[in-house]
Amino acid sequence: MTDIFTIAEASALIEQRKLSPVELTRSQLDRIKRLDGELHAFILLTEERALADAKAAEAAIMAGGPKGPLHGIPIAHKDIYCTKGIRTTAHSRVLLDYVPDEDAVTVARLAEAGTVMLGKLATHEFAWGGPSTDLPWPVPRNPWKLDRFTGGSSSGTGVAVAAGLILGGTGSDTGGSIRFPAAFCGISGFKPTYGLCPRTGILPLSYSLDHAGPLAWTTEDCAILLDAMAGYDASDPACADIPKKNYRAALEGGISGLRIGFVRNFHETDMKVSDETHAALKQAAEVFRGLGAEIRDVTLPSAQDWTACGMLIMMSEAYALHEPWLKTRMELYGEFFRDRVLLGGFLRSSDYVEAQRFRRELCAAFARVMQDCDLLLCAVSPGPAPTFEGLTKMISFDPERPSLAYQFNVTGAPALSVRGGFSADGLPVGIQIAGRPFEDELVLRAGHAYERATTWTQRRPVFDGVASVAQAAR
Amino acid sequence: MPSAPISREVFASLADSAGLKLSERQIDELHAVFPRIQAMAERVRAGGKRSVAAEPAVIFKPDTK
Repeated sequence: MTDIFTIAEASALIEQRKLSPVELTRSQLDRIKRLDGELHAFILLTEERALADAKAAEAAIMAGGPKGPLHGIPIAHKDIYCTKGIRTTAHSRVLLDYVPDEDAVTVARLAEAGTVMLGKLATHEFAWGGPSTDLPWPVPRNPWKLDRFTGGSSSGTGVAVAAGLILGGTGSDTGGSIRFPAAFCGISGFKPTYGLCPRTGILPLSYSLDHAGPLAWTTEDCAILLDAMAGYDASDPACADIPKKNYRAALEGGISGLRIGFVRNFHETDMKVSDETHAALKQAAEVFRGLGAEIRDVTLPSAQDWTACGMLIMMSEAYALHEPWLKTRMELYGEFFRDRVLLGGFLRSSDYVEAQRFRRELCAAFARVMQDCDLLLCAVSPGPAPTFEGLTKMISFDPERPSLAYQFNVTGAPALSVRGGFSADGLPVGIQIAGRPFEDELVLRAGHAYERATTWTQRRPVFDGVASVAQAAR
Repeated sequence: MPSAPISREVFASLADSAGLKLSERQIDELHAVFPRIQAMAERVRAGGKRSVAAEPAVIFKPDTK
């Protein structure tokens, strides 16, 4: 079997008893073994567990039907998500032998929903240190072009979804780590509102900026995963105790009449972006206009402001977390993460407090813009996936290259990265759609409508000589 | 008022007082980048004009449950 399914497609076929979860899982395992030797998306393949999950799912489905759209669906987890009895390393020698006693809450929820766990996925070390070549596992490769960066830190998830190794996966986003791999690997990646998905059992980088969320081929698939992941859990002090929504059900309805703020300053004045990114954003605005939305130009505080605020908070919180290990086992870290996080040790307490005061001001500025907008459209990356050359250890601190992601971590607002087109040499170009906190369904609806109105999701990377999309109505 | 650049010697002593055992190369590399961090720290300070009433986003709320 060489067809690659979306979650929605596979789910429908499983429900119709036209697709066996066991055969689907075997097909994914074969594909992983055939392709991942070059892609390096996985750092641990859990074949026995996957087949056991698949057999259990199939038996349950044959007996009483699927319990939901994720029943029998093969996924994998970013290796900062704790998995009970299964090594969880954060892609670091520091945790080389760490085997958690409990699943992360989101891992348990996805298992309860009936997913099949294929394994643990590569990540930048502790979700910030990459791409690193001095760690026990190789750097993941972009299936669109192997010499191109995958984006991170959810690099393994991005690659695995793009290459059809998994149907969906988990990621985390502290300053773009779901959205960047989604953009560079040409898939959909959703950073939900802060506190929507519990972070319990996910190895932290920055307590007040970390978000858990899904990556998948389509926005619809992200919504299906989010339906399982989201929801209050008292174990996470940041988790929002709000009524649960059905994000997949909320996808339909279109976006006619919605007001979309086009944030031009990020890509027109704050930083230099590629011609393809300019074109993709302009075209996306036209697509949204064609779908009945009103497009209005808006200005947010500069990318430099958001980056300074987010970086100082992240550096302070990450350094505090890692200080004990940096003092006792520094030699186990990879150079990139080690030296980046060490810089946090030179910040003053007043730097952190001032960054958090600035954060409140920036959130107020965002809220003022969102009084007149339902959604935002903006850039997510300066261009298509770059080569590895130039991705230096200290690139995060380059004032010429502020982040285009931090604004939605600092505000905690929901943000989705989807494909906005392709470059002349066939690389995906990402765009970003965002909304007000706890209006995640609106962001997903817009992404879904956009994907339905464009052809970008029909194009897969040609990696092994075969590029195919599952045939409809099999 | 922007912070003055930190000399390499002061930077190394900060590492010492933090209990961090850094190599000479690490001190060189981190010290070289540190002005960019200082620039970020200046940016978030709003030129020192922030009102004393401006609360940080992270505040403590006693548990009511």
